[in-house]
Amino acid sequence: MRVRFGALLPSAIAIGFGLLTLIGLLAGGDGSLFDLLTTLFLQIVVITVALAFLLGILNLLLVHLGRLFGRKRGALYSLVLLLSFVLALTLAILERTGGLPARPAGERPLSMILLETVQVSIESALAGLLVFALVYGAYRMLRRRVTWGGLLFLAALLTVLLGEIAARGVFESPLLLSFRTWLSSVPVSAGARGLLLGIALATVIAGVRVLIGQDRSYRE
Amino acid sequence: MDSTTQVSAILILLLTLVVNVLFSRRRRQPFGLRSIPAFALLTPTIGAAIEANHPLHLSYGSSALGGENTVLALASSELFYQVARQAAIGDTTPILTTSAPSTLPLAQDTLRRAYQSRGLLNRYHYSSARWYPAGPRSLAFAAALTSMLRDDDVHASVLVGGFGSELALIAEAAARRDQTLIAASDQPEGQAIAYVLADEALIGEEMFAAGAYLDENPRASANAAVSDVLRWLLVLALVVATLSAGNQAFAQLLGELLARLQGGG
Repeated sequence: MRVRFGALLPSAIAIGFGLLTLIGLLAGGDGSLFDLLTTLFLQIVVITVALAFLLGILNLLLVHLGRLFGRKRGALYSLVLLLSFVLALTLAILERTGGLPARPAGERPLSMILLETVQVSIESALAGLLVFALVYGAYRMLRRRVTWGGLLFLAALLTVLLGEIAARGVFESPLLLSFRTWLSSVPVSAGARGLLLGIALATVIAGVRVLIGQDRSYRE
Repeated sequence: MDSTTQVSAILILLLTLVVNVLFSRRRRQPFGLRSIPAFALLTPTIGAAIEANHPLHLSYGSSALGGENTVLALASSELFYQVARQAAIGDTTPILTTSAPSTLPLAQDTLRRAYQSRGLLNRYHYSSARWYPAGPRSLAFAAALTSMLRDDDVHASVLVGGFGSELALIAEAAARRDQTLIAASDQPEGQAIAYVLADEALIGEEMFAAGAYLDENPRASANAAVSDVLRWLLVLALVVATLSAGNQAFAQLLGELLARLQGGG
């Protein structure tokens, strides 16, 4: 069997570092060599992730410059994004280098104010749209096919929404309130835990596959 | 980490390893693969995208390498690799998006490997893997995707990764443009929305089974069998734990049995 060194090396590195980190985490903060190595590896990960952020910015700029100069659909949005980027970057540089007049003590920097007034308010508006998207989803689901699952979802949605209104004192319905509390604390909680347990189990299997070199990402 | 957690973690890892090795060596798996509608929908969707000459959109959401959901990012990559491999014969390259910058190199590598496996590396373009910043609540990411679905004239989206309630906005935009949507999330809010709004949803550990359902290699189905065996073992453990918590006599019987196994009585 022919073994490619280029494919073997990443697997060997992933398995070696993975096993050392696993042993270090299982040993758990006892100050041993494995524990020190684990801390070092995790610090390297943090630095690498920080560097990946620069890569992300570069990717974002290249994609939108390509869209702008290629005059593709949405080029105007790309222009707005690039101008916003340049503006935010210039503002941050001027703040750091003292190029802007000093702000009174206790006041937040201009770049933070810009972020909060533009991004946070737009995000809040989008969050307000979520409920309409969900109601539309319920309508779409029932229009597509009426299933027991769909009807159950609709009943649960109505119970939670009406229960929320009752909880705010608009009308009195102790039975609805107690049913809503039971719904979220028993079946919903059990379902969520079941999902998370399934995901955790699959995560362990996928992790073991990486550790024994079966994962494709390191094989090709 | 206390000793009970350490022993439990080692036991679970060893059990997973043993079952995995046992099943990987078998040519035929003892259990057939159950039907998962989302995987069944994937192949015709890819075919339709190639026919229509429109790109597919694949997204990791907030799954990040180096974070809590590193393994999920790797599992999503396996799924996206299989989808991109099938879509590589078309003229348009699938678009991979992520809101985690550390996943961007993985996304680029996934696409590159898919095209390389078909001998079509010249068609791969680096800008097909894109990073969109998430913002404090991932809504900026969702807004960017809704715009991208329109601008790039996407045929269908496969969103498998870390998504919260913002998934509703993306799904609604896809539905408005009559685009097929297959979605799954490791967060209960995102999973619930995927179930309601997507054409098909992958639920829980199904996100990790792409290799078994889409890979041509029959040995890949071993993973699904391992997952099934471990899931039933977990169900059994939960039933035993529930019975022993609610029934004094059963708890006593279980204690005696464990003591005998340890050689104590």
